[in-house]
Amino acid sequence: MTTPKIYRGVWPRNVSRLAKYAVRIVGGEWKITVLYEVEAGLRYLAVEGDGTDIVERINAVKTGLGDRLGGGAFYVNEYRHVLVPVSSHSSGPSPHYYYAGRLQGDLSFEFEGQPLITRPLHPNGTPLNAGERWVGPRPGIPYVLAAGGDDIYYETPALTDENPPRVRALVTQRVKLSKVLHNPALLGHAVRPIANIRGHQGGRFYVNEHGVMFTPVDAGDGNGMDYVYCGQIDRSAWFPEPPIED
Amino acid sequence: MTTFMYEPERRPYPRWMGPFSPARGTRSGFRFHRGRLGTWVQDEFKRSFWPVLDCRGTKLLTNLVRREWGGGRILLLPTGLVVKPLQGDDEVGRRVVIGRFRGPVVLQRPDGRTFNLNYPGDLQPGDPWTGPKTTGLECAIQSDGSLVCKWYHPTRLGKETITEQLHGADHTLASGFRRVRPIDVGGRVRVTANGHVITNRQTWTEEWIAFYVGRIDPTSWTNWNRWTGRTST
Repeated sequence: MTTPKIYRGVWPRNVSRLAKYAVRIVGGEWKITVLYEVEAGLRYLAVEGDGTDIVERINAVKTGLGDRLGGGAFYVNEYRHVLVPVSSHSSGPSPHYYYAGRLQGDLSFEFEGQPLITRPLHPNGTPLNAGERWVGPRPGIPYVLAAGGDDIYYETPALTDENPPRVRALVTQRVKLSKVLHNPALLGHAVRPIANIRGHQGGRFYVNEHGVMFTPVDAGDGNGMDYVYCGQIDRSAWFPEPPIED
Repeated sequence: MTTFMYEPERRPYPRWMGPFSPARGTRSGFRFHRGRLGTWVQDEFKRSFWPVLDCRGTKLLTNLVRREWGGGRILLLPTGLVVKPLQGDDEVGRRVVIGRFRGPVVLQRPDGRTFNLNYPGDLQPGDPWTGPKTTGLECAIQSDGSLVCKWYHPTRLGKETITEQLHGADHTLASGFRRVRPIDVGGRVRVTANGHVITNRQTWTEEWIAFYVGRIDPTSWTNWNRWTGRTST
């Protein structure tokens, strides 16, 4: 087995339990699951189909780093990179994020006989429009629309330039889309779908494996947050795909 | 040492990558006003400028800053480093070391009396601090009295934030902080230029009043030169 590689892109730390996938034992088998919010509370849904390839890769990363139990949280970003957080002696209390290959195909779940998919579609298959409630599973990578609504950034632990990289202890880097693109027109194009929902105050939004953007907003009924679909990222006006080192 | 001494750094000034406190408004920290180095102090009724007493050291520092930058803010770190945030549009967040100071920083109050940041009076933890509230290095005191500082640098693609413990567990500081803010397990403190530590407490009138917490020995903070001169990515 090859040595697991530390991932050079965004590490989605400090996200809610609904914003991550997990490998769990369901019916005696490892399955991909997602925590889903329904009116009655929270429920784990097992992935439809086998998904065993991902499970094996995730568990291989974990066991390769000394985690004998396997399973646990993982993420899939907009480049379809599968990211596995692993705590070890070298990481200390905060896990380091490792690359577990690319996601092939889609992850789809079922709730009360209806498919729940991570693409922007209504359960009946019609397209979702920006501003409509996001009813799909919520795993995603956190980004922030900056206050002022005119930039997007992410924050993640800083790594060294070496290969393989090391984590620079206690250093966090913030990467701004404006500094990546150097193009106000492209930046405006990237920011607009989020700013249309979140306004000048800005705030956190998530991007899933299909490049779907959704953001939490106050439901307005005193019952917490709703998630709203904002649109899809335009890859020509977005952060570049992180390098995957051999 | 009874006099403020200043020794300029050789040019080119080394980049400062170490602990730093951000400006809290346009009248925080040590600044230049009408050609003099000093700090703005807000009392119950009004805000006034307390200049640093004139001496050879302050003149040397003032002349240098006014000549090179026209004024602005400087930070007098408790370790004796004098740090200048650069002011150009393309220099936001960049800082350089412009020299080192030794000795007490003595301020002149509007009524003619002085306030000595090295000997601010016979203060006990919990006593009100009548000196400037916005100077010094901002840190977060932890429940064990250790001090953690967080600061940032601009990078090519955004910025980098560093969090580091600058001072280990300190029972005396912890108990001093609890005397001021008995409900809080930690909070923001400032380590002023000569090592005295203060914190703000909100009163029932919702004003923030500064109180004395204790003192650390600035000479115990060694190896700060490691933060000079490193280039950023």
